[in-house]
Amino acid sequence: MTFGTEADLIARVQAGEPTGEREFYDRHVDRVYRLVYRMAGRADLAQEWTQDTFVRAFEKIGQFRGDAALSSWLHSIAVSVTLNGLRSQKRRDGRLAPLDEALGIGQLPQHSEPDLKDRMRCAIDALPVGTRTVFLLHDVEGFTHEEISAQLGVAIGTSKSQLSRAREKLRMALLPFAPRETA
Amino acid sequence: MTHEHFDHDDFVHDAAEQSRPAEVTPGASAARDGAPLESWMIALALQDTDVVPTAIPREMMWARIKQQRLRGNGDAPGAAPSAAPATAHVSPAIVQRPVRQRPLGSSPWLLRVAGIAALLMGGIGIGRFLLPSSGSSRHQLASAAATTRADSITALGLGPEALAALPQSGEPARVAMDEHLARTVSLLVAVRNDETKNTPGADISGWARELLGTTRLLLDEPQLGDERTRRLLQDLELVLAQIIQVRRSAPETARAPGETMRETNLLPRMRAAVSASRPGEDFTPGGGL
Repeated sequence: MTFGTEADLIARVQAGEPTGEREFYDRHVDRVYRLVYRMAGRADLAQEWTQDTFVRAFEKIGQFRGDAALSSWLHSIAVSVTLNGLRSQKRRDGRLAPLDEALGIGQLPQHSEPDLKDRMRCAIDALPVGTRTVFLLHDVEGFTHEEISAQLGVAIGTSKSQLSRAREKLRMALLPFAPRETA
Repeated sequence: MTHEHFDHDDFVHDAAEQSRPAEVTPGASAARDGAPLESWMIALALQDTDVVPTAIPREMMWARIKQQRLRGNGDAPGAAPSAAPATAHVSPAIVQRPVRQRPLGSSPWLLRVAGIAALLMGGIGIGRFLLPSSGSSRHQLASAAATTRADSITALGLGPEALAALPQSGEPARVAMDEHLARTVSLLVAVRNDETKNTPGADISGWARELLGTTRLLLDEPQLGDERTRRLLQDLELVLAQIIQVRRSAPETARAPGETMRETNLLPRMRAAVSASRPGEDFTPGGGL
């Protein structure tokens, strides 16, 4: 698949060109989905919120002025949609937990003897949502503190301190299980 | 940048953590931030291909995005009647999420409570002042109530047979939806069982077309506007549309309904919804999951 320049693509999406919208979607959907999935921890929620992210992005693309990279702008929408969704989900789960259990769409299965990867996932899931978001954006997605600051609307120092806190918590959770050669 | 819904409380874990000096001392924070996570931990965090599905449902999500945008643009009248013009083609779910920005009076549960209270007050008023006056008044009121209920159900697009089969109690829209889901489960099971065929029979397509019409009417029903029901009906709408669009010349279209059913866990969700509305009954149309 051949893609044009980002500026061309933005212009086509802003003009409402269907092929441009589809190209924009194809170019970014995987990364957005993975970010949302990591934050949400559930495939059904990741699908729902990825869709909402793109619906909102198409709605707001006219306001995009190119102050930041298109991917940063899109990720900021994804993070916003996901954080709002997580709050709604928390309230909804509180009311509908028995039905969710009946449907079998609850959290990931908990193993009595989880391997290291499961421990990492559980440790990430246990982080406060803002701390988790900063960790995922910085250490997993590779965004800088400046970009995270712009995406989340927080100070750079806040982003740094939250990353520090996330790393500290993950170390506490995982160091006892470090592989022998690295321990 | 879009961070209007970002909540700084998301960062706060507990009061003790907030007050920790290491977290508020810039030097200490910077020093610790300079020490990246151990490489094996980073590798673990990145190595989640078994958790993140390798097959991202791109086509399904794209179909739903187009559907949401079409719905928001006015192709489905009544889909978002209360949305302001500026946000009319944003997903209703997005419009509803910023709870703190929503005026208190527009909260759905507050409106529901207000509605129930108004009904109770109206009922008390009718009981005190109208019913004792004459038997004919009582009859007229009962007739009016029955007519209102029947009109409401008729507005959903159900025919006389469906109307006759409806239970005599319950919220009309909810009852209509439960009946609709029960009928639709049978179709979906038939489609799932015939997945190996390239094209569904004409009777299946016609059946799906009829059910799709009713599904869309139910989607526009304000009484069924809760998130869970709306998502269920939207997923159902997508599957029914895919069943209708199966073409002999494009074999891949025959697989789409089954794939969407599996990806969205549709049949179990529908059965759970129907079972929840029929306590004490064992609902198993179409056999097992």
